This record gives sequence, structure tokens and C-alpha cells, in this order.
Amino acid sequence: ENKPPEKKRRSRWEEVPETTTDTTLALVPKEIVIAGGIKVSLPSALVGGPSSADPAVQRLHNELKEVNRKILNNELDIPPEGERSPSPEPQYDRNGVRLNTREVRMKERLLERRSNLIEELIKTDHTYRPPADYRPAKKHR
Amino acid sequence: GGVAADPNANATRILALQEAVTLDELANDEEYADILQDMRQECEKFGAVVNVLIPRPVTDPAQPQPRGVGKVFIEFADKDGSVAAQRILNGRRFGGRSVIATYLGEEDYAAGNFD
Repeated sequence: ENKPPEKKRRSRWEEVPETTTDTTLALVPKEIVIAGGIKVSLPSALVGGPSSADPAVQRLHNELKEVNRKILNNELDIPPEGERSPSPEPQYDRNGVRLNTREVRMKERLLERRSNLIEELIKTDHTYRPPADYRPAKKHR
Repeated sequence: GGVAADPNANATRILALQEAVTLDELANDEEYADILQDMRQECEKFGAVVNVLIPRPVTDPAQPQPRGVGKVFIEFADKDGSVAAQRILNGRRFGGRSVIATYLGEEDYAAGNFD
């Protein structure tokens, strides 16, 4: 084939308004106020940013971001002593190492929340594509 | 909650991007080549890029997946590049997904500890 190497293909990276040379795009506000003081959100296709204007979907995106951040930073939100509910019976592996420590349980809780949020987003946001490491949770009967 | 940590306290030359790519995309030769190109072109805006490493999934379900599958690793020539890229790329969408950009330790990178 004799194709030039510099074929024009759109990058998968989302456009960043600061670096675009098209100033008209950067000047479009996310919200405009029309007569009577009514605020109107412009479609995200026009202003860039998150794909869904549905606030419920936005909340899911935001919570997923927050949960992802907590998992990465190991912020487990362990309540202070005295505000904790009783711990379950300890479980140990063959070598006597405790399996269900508080840290492990809280992390599992975060991972489960993440999985549920991704599941919700798949259902509610058709532009959403789940991350590579996402596996649908097995449904217990 | 807690004290806000300095995001650059653990900065290294190596950036690990999560949530950016799906296994289906990585399995497709053409898409894989496009992703490599998109990553390199974008990252070179922040500094000299030494290497872009994207582990590919194995198709045989009996085989274990190589480490770090689903992540994208970018080795910059120096920390300035990776720090600038982390700031801009973290939270930005790639193929519609919000990317999480974190640093990978030099030793982990050299040893292939990608998980």
C-alpha cells in the first residue's frame, strides 16, 4: 500500500478547550439564561464534556470517579472505633492468615459499589463503555 | 476522608493510565495500533516520551492474562513530562471513558509489576 503515514484520524482523546484553536467552541457556555431567568443547559455534544446531560447519569459518573479515587488511594473510610458495627467472625486461610480483616472488608465494599455503579451506567448511559477490568458480577440465586 | 496528600509526592517518570482501553479494543490489531498512536501523540505534547507500553490480552482463556492488561504505561524522559501529563490526562476522556492517571514506581516498572 502507498498510503501516506500521516492519515487524518480523529484521536480518541477528548478535546481540551484550552488547547483548541477554535475559539468559538471554547466560548460556548455550558448554561445560558433565557428570558425570564430560566437556565438552559446546552447539549454536551455542543459544549464538550460528559456525554449525558441527565443529572442522574452525571451523579453516577461522579460517584464512580469518587469510588475509583478511593480505591486507588486506599481511602477505606473506616469509621472511628466506637462507631463501628460488630465485626463478623474472623476467617483464616490454611496458613492461619486472617482473610476478612477490616481493611479487606471495606475494600470489598468499595469494589462492589464500583461494580454496581458500572452496571448502572451501562444501563443508563449508552455512550458509556465499561473499563477493561470490569466483569459483570455473578448473580447469586 | 483525610488530609489531602500532595498529588506529586509519589511522582515518577512513569504514568499508568487506567480505564482508558477495553480488552476488545486491545485484541484488534488496527485499533491497537491506533491507540498506541493516539497515546504517543498526545503524551508528546507534555514532554519527550521514551516508550508507550500497552500489554495485550491473550485470547486463549486457559492462559493467564499478562500483567497490566487493560492499562497503558507511558515512560517519559523526565518527571516534568509525566507530572504535566498526569495533571491534564487524569479525568480526561479517552474513547468516551474517564481516564485515571497515576504514577508507577521506577522499580515496579523495571520489574514488570504492573498490577
